[in-house]
Amino acid sequence: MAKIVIIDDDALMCNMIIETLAEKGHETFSALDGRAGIALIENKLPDLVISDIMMPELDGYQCLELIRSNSRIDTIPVILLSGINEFGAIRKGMVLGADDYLVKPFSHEDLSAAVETQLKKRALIRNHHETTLSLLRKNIVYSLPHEFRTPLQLIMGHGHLLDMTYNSATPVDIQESARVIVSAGKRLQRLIENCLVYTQLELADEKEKLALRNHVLRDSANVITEVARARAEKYQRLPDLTLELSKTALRISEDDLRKIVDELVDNALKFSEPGSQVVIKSSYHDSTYTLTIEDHGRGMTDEQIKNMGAYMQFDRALFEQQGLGLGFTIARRLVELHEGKLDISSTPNVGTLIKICFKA
Amino acid sequence: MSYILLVEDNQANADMMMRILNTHGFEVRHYIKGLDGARAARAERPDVILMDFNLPDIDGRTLVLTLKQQLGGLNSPPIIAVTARTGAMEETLAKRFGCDAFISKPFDPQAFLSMVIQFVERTHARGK
Repeated sequence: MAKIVIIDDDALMCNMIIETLAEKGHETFSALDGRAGIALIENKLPDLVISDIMMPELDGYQCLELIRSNSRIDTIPVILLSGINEFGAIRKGMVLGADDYLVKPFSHEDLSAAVETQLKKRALIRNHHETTLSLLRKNIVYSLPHEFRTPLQLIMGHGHLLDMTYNSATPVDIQESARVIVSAGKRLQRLIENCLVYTQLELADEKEKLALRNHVLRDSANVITEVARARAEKYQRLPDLTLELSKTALRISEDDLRKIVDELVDNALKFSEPGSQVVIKSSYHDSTYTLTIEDHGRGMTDEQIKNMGAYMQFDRALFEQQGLGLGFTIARRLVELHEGKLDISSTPNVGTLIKICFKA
Repeated sequence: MSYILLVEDNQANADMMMRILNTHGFEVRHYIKGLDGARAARAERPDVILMDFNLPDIDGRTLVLTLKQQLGGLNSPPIIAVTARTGAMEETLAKRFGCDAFISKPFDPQAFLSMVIQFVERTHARGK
């Protein structure tokens, strides 16, 4: 059973539609003019709206525009009804975002079929959202604690271990524990920072974004080289790194460029085998600055690229890997903050190419 | 010497657990992949098996279920789940899949060591 709002100034037509839909078991609500109709939609949040076009006060097109511009109700499907069987009128409704258009007079069967089609489509979309949300919930429930606990385990474990063995541990044991504690601490710090940066970026309003944009970096090549080399060194893969960079000034803060490059190069190194090349190039043509980062690693399917996002790490079951999918999302958000564009193309088991463009 | 088999996909964690177990003189053999660990367990019959659940090649819980049967059901060496998963439900599930005990990361090394010692002694009392 679905909730359906019917808006039509013709009471007879309204009743006919209500009867047809009630017979199918749907719950109906009706209004005799556009303004009352919109109020009813906002109040009932129905699964479908059926609206006449020619009405006093607000006509069907105006109602449709109001529905599509109100984020609480903008995804509700709308079927327009009209006595005008004219291509232009139908197209106008479709352009404004109508989902179907029935020309009066129509049969009970036509009405029922149009309604069922829209309800089915809505159920499919809802299912799809539910699946995505439940995956997100599952990732937050499983990956988030795992990501925090793994370094925490190392820090606490080695701390206890030093305590347990303080009179028998060799200097080498003590040094090893100290190094593990520092490295796990760094991992935890990065994780916490990323969660905070991500939240800040998500919550920043236009004024804050404008303030964050107000920077000029004279030499991007220097910064990129420094960050990429430091990352590669951490993975002991300096020989795998190739840099071909142009010395271009960019409208971006140094910190943000560092973060973008660091996260993307980290992914390129993490998801490719030692010995395979990671190539970073930048160029400047027609007032556009382009930066590419290419690896020859695991790669991704189109489906995986589509699902990339915060807390959406995939194949967790197959690969022990660090991260929550936050790094890539932060890099993308930072590029967008500075009015750039980030594209990703990837082939499974061939590699991934990230392309970033800024108007310089 | 008592022999502990450790299946854990994170090398840093495995190194730490081995050091904790070495303080008590246990011999530890570590495997990153579940199936390699299972093969070794069938061939060498350890005193205790420590099993992570998030493994690169197979779900740890499913592995415990089959391994427990292959090693003789009730006569199998004890299997302790060592996992980042937490909570009563996870523990109940682990036991239902055949784990004899459950320890959640991060754990206290002393408590971890005591648990392993207790299960090793149980295996020895049973005459392996």
